[in-house]
Amino acid sequence: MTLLEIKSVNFNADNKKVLNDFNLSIKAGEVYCLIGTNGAGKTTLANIIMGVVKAESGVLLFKNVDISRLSITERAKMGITLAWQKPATIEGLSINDYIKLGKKGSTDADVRKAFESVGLEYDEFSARILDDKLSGGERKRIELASVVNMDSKLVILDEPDSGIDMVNMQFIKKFISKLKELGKSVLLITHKEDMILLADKAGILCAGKIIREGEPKKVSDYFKNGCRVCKDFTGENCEK
Amino acid sequence: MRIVKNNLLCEYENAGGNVNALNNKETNHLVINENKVISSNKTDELDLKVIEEKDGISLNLTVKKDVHVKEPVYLCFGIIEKRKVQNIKINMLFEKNSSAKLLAHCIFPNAVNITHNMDAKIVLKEKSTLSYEEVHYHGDNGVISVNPKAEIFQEEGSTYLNRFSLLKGIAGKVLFYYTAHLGKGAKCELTARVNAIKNDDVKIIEKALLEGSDSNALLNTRIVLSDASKGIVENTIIGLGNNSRGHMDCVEIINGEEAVARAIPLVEVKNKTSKITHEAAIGSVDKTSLNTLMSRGLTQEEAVRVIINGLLR
Repeated sequence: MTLLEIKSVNFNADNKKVLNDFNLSIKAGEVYCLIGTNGAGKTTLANIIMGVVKAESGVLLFKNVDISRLSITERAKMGITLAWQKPATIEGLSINDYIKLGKKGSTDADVRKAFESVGLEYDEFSARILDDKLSGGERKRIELASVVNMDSKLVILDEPDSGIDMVNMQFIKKFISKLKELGKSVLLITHKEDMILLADKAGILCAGKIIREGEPKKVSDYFKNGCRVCKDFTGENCEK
Repeated sequence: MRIVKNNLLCEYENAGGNVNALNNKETNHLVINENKVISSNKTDELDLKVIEEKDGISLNLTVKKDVHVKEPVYLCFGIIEKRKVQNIKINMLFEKNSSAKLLAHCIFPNAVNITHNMDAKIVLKEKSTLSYEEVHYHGDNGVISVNPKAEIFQEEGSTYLNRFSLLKGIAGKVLFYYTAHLGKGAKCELTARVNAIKNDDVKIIEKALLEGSDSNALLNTRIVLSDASKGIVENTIIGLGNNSRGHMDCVEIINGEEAVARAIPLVEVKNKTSKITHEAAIGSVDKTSLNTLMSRGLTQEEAVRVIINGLLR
């Protein structure tokens, strides 16, 4: 069953077509990995799905409902959430309270469980404040713990692997597998080839479109050998 | 003798005050309504003298050398009447190597026209420590003028920690004016939290004069301005002593169509080994934080409330 369907979405910024007649379909329980070089429009797509910015045209269907004009809150309540590439800090808010915010009636036991899924010690982190005293890797893992505590159906992970060390990377890889076990759909956005292999399906975003899609290993190889050396970025030559 | 709760003590409890502590003979406390002492208790740990005056009180508090007051000293300065002027004069002396924590509640729940002035002189001798927290609890209407003024003289190795919070009810017209003179190795932290609503007019002036070598000051201010309220923060740190360090951190959030925020930081260094830094952020609620909370299912209003509550914590 298709959970998310994006049809003919267009979005421009600074006179550039960031998304150009863009189409994407993600099934329920599927981990879809979207890769692309820096500036390809991956984060813009994440923001459009979450409702942070609105597409100029096109349709977004989630569980067969048109969500194109819905607010961030309405989309979240329907089951979409986003773990941000650069997670926000919120002065004075404890990590425990932050994680509970995503699910009404959450208990400390729920938070503990969410922490376990990303390899964080509850006693060490729960009372700490969600501020800039946390390292980049810690903040990323807290963001993931926050996401897993929600009753979401689609989790968008925007470059969860950026700016983190190998230890944190292992936790993030395990976390993605955990989401799959829980039956959640994942849109994993990255530009690192080894992350692609965690997915059921992968696609390459270039020139505002998915230029290649399919089995993760093949897409990864194409990205490594083709996209990494490409100077074109029009998406036209590779399509031929 | 057990304290019988009157109107002021009921409001004190509502404001988060510890009424049980007022019944404890091991705990120092002083409760003032207008210019009258409603209740007090003093242990051998400190000298506490109160003089009732026409429009307020004079308070002299001394902590003797090497005395460390175990429990917090509870103070309550309240006005239950609707119209009054209350002048509080405070002289505090902390002798060498002494310490205490003071927790003061200023309560004006029924104000129609209330003025509360506080004029304090605080002397912290060598290696003494004072932690002073002042919590204001105001009604939702009326005209309130709050003018706390203090001058703090800190000798070598002393520590002064001040936290001023005005989060309940209207703030009114507030002029908070604190000046700290820091001697060698002295440390000072001035923290202010104000939630301004309606037509509140809040002015925070904090000055830290880093006179001694290795002295250290932090000025931390957070104001949330809703409706048509105004907030001005004028913080000053002057580096005079060798290796003195200072930092000021001011955040003002505009959460009202007609609200106005202004910050005027003054940083002055008169010693080449001194270093002072400042940061200020003035504007609306951070969009990234807002979007993050909304992506967890909070409405925009709920998300703003979470951010503001965190900021004022």
